[in-house]
Amino acid sequence: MALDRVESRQSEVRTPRVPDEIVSDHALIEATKNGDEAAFGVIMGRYRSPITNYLYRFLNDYEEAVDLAQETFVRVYFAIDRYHTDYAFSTYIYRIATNLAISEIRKRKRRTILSLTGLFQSDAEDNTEFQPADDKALPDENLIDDEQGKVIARAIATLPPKYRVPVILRDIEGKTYEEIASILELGLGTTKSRISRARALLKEKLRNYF
Amino acid sequence: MNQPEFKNGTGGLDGFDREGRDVSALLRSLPHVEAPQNFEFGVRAKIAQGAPPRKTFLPILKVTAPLGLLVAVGSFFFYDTTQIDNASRAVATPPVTQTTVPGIPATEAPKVSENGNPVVSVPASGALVAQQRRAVRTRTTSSSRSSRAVSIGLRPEGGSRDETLGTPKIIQPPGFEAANSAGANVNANVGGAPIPVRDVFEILGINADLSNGSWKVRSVTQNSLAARGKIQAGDVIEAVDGQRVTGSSVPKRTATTVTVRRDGKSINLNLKN
Repeated sequence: MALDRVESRQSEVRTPRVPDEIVSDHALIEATKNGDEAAFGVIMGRYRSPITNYLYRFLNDYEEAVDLAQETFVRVYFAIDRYHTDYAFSTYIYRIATNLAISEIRKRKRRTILSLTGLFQSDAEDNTEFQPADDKALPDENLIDDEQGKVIARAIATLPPKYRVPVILRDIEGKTYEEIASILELGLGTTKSRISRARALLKEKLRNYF
Repeated sequence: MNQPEFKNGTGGLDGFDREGRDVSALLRSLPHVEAPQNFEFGVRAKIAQGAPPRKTFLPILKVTAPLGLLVAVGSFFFYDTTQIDNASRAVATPPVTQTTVPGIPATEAPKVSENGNPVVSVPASGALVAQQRRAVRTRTTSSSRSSRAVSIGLRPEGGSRDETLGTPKIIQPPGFEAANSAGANVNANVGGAPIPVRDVFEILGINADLSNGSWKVRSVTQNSLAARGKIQAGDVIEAVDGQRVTGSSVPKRTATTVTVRRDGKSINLNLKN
């Protein structure tokens, strides 16, 4: 039944579409609000890979990243009426994705039987939490087939979420500091401070590569 | 150190980034993963299932509501029981009155025991006969929840009375003064509250009725102190240990002598024969 609804919606999609490189995100959102499902499809096409990549770098789990990325678009869809054009849509969708990812991290912590927090702290202000990296192999090993990439990915996954998110958004997603500050609802100085701290931690973990 | 220059722009290395550029470069070297081909299908399928549940306070309510209910019920019972205890105490405590007779010096302020019951006069240790076995039933109450149950044989001032056959013995509570060698009544209610006359008569074995302000003996329990002291039916109790007995209370709880009026004459009877 769900598939039928999905297929019927897909049949409705086969109507003349506006080239998506012309239409802005806000226009697509407005069209979606008015019932244009194709506009929402364009939105998905634009952001599905960046969001998936972002969540993958955050969680170091491809399947989980895809699942949460889909969940992100579902939430965008059902909250479409509440979306305001005061800020950029990319800020909005990345914020939703970040919140979902952090919730997932918290669920993982609750599932962990033995907490390793504090065992490896060398600095009281550090708040570095040792999080066992996900050793599960990717479904597609071609994505990351080099050992260096795996080590880097695992090093990122061991960062505390508050440092992990901004450094991924900056150095992997290429967001500006202002965008990152807007996504995380932080001040500019705090954002830069956290990115700096994250880089310092990664440099320490990956010193063999420098 | 030169102050790094920050750019407001669309990315790219700026002064701040230059300090961490080696790490940035390492992160940028990571390949970008793509969403799977059926990504949109998965999203549409999830949309078809309906909106995701929104966070509510229901999980918290599931815990706090029963706890709140328990606290409310417990408080109600505690309050209710406290009210019952207070009411019971008011009923159990007999009215304390102090009788005065012109010419007779007023006694000191009557004493009450810790639980509010008047102190009852009892003979000296060992003086109770086997027939003095009617229990002083008191329902002791206290403000605490661990109120004592109905006790049989408890003396209001503490201690207990052995209810078995034979000469009952008085078990004094710790710290209670023992009788002195002269046999003075250790239960003298010095400065205590007036004692109900019926309680004293009961211990002595006197069954009397109050009539026109005078206690007329109806009968005397066999082998009681009163019987030993030769109190007879028809006697009018005038005084106990020299204290006039009028009304429903006596100022003292000692009872070594009783003054009765018999055939128009006042007779002092010694109970400790």
